[in-house]
Amino acid sequence: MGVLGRAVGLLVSGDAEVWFITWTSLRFSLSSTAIACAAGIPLGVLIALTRFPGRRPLLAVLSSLMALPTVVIGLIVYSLISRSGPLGRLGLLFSPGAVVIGQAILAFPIVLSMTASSLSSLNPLLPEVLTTLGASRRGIFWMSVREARGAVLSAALASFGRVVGEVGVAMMVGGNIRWYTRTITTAIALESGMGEFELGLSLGIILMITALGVNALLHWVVRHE
Amino acid sequence: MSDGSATPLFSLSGVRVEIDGHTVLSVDSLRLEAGKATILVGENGSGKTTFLRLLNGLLAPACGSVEYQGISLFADGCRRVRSETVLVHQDPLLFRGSVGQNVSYGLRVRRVPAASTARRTAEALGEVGLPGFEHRRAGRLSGGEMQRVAVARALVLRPKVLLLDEPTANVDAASRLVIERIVRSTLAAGGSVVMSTHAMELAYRLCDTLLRLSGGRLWPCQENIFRGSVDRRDEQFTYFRAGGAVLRCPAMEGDFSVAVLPVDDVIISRAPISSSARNQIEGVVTRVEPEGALLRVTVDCGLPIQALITRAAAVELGMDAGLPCMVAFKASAVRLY
Amino acid sequence: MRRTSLIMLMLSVILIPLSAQPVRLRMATTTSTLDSGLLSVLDPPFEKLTGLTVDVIAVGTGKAIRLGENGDVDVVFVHDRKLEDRFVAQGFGVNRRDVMHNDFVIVGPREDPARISGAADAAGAFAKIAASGSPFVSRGDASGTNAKELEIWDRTAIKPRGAWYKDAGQGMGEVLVMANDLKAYTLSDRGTWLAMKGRLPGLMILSEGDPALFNPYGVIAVNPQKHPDVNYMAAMQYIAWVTSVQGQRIIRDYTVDGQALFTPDVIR
Repeated sequence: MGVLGRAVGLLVSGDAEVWFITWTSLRFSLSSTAIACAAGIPLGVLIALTRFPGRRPLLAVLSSLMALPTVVIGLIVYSLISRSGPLGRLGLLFSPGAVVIGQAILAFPIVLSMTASSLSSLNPLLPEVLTTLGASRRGIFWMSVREARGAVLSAALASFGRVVGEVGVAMMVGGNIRWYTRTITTAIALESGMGEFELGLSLGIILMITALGVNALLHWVVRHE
Repeated sequence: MSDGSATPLFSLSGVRVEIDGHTVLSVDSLRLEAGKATILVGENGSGKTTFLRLLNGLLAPACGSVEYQGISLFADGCRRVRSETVLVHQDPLLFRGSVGQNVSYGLRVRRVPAASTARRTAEALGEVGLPGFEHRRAGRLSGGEMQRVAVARALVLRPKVLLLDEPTANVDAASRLVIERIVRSTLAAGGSVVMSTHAMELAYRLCDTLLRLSGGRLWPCQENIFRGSVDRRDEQFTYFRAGGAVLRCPAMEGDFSVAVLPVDDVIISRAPISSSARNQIEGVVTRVEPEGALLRVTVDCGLPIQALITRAAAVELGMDAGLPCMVAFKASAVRLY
Repeated sequence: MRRTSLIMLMLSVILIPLSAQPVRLRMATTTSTLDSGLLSVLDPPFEKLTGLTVDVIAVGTGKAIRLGENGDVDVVFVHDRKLEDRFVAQGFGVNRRDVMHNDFVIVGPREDPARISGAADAAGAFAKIAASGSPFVSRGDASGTNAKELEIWDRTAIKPRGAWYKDAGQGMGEVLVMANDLKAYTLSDRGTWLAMKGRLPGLMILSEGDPALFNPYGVIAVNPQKHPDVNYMAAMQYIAWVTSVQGQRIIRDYTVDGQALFTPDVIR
C-alpha cells in the first residue's frame, strides 16, 4: 500500500519529471509500435494470404525473433548508428529517434508473426467471397484486417507491452538522458541502481497504470469504430 | 439443347480444372442459355462448387475456354462477369458487424451513394424475408437467416446471373421457400440462375436444365422431367397433363407441377403389349443417340419421352427416326413434385 | 474516415517532437558524478550561459571512454588516469584537463570480521580481507572504481578468486546495496558512499586516507580529427566551464549532508 500510495502520489502531485518520463515512455513506445504496425500488419496480411515457397520456415524464423533479447537489438542498433557505424552520420545515437528505431525493430517481428498467424485462422473462403462481391485487392486486404481486428489489436498491444516494458534498447541507444531520453524503465534501472527501490517500484506501478490505460483506450476505439 | 443463333450465357469447351495436380472438373462442351435456371446435382465432391467458381471467374481452368456472353472469361470477360454475376457460397461467411453492413458491402465497394445504399439494402432484406434486420448482429443469426443474408448480399447488387452453391443445405424450411421464391423472381425478371443442390425435389421443380455431375464430369440426365399440371384424379391414379399427353401417376393428394420419369423405366415396343404398365402411349421416334453401350431414344408422344435401350433391342425393333412405336411405363415409376 | 484522421492526428502529435533538436552536447561520464548529484548543480548554469543542452550518459569509465573512441559523445568526464592517458595517446581524446578529485574508501560491515578498521594502508586492508575469507563485492564492470580496486589487488600480489569474492558486474549503487545485504566489504568512491550511506545501515567506512586511494577526475574532448561530426566547440566550452573559477567554486561548494564530496583541482 505504501508503494502504491507513493506511485499515485507521484502522479497526482504533478511532479514534472515523473510526468515527463511517463510521457517519454508513452511517446517512444506508441511511436515504435505505430511504425512496427505500419510495416508489420501489411506484411503479415501478405504472408497470411499468399502461398510461396519458404513460407513456413519464414514464419518460424519470425516467431523465434520474438525471443531476441532487447540488449542484443540495442547492440545491433548501436553498432549501426554509432558514429563509427554505417549510419553514424545521421547523429541518431542517444536521441529519441534511436530508441524509437530500436523499439520498432523489437516490435516488428511480434506484430508481423502475430498478424500472420491470426489471419491464417480466418476463413480461407473470405478472399473469394469478397472477390465475388466486387472487392479489389485493397478491399480484400482491409476486410481481412477488419475481420481479424481483435487479433490484430492483440498483436499491436503485445508489441506495445514488450516495448513499453523493455529497458535494453532504451538504455543502450537512448542513454537514459534526463529530460530527453529517460523513460520509466531506464529511470527504474537508475533508481534501483542507487538503492531507491521504493521509488523504482512506484515507477513500475506508474508504468503498469499507463500500459493499462493504453490497452483500455485501444480496446474502446476498436469496439466503437 | 437448342443450337439457336442467340449467344449463350456461358459456353464452355474443352475445359479441365486441376487442383494440386488432380483433375476435379472436365467439361467437353456445354452451353447455358440466358434467362434459364440451370440446376447442378451430384454427390459431394463431384465438382459442383468448382463448376460455379469457374463460371464466376474465381478460378482458371488448366485448359479450355470459358466464355461469358461470347467473351472469354480470362480476357475482357472477367470484369463483365464480376459486375454481372455473383456467387453465393454454401458457407454464408458473414462479415463481423451488422446485417446491414454485410448486405451493403458490395454497394460500398462500388461507391454507391449512401442514400440509395440504404434503400437497396432494405429492399434486398425484404426480398429474403428479413425486413428490418439491418441493425442485427450478423453473428447472432440462425443458420437459415445467415444464408438468406448471404443471398441478400448478392441480390442487392442486382446481378444478371445468380450463382448459388447449395443455398438450401443446412437451412430451415422457411428459408428453403425463400430461396425458391428468389430463384423464380430472378428468372421472372429476366435474370439467369445456376444453382447446385442436393434437394432433388427443389431441383426438379426449378430446373430448365438439370446437369448431373459425378467425378468431375457431366452425365446425361437419367430422368425425363415433364412440366405440367394435374388434370384430374380418380381412386387409382392422378392424371398429370404435360404437353400433349396425359400420364397416369400414383394417386397422391396435392398440387404438382413436375412429373419425373426415370429413363430406365420406359419400355419401347412396336405394338401395344399386355403388361402391368398402366401408361401406354403412341409416338414417333425422333432421335437415336449412342450413350455408352446403350442407345438413348427420344419418342414424340405429344411430349418428348426418352428411354434407354440396348443395341440388340434397337436392331430387333428396327429403331430409327420416324419409326412409329409404343411407349410404356408403370404409373408407380412416375414421381410428382 | 473520422477515426483514421483521429489516429493520424494522434500519431503526428507523438512523432513531431521526435524531430525537434536543440543544440546538444553529449557527455559520457561515470555514474559517480551523476549519482552524487554534482552534475545537477554544475550543468544548469552552463546550459543557461551557452544555450546548449547537456546530455549526460552515465556509464562506467571503461564504457564512457569506449563511447568517446567511437565518436558517440563529444566529451568524456571520467576517473581512470591510466585509461584516460591511453585514450589521449591513441589520438581519440584531446585537451585533457584535471577537474577535481576525491578519494576512494573501503567500506565494510560494522562488525568488521577481517579487522581492517583504522588501517591506513589499503593494500594491507585488502590482504586481511582475503586472508579472513570475508565476502568482498567487486564492481567488475571496467569502471574507474573497478580499475582502482584491481590496482590495489595487484599491490597485494593476491589474485582475488573464490566464493568470498563476488564479481557483480554492476554500478556503484547496486554494489553498495549488495555489500549491505551480504555483510561484505567493497571499495567505493566517497561521493556515492556519502550520497547513499543513509540507506546502508550495515556498512561503515573502515579504511581511508591512503594516497593510493586518490581519485582524480579528468575531462577530455573527443578529437574532431578522428570524428568530424562531434561537437568539438561545445566540448571545449564545457571543459572551459568546469575548469573556470565559477565552475570550480560550484564543485568546491557542493555538499551532501554538510560534507563536501569533491575537491577542485584549479582553485583552492
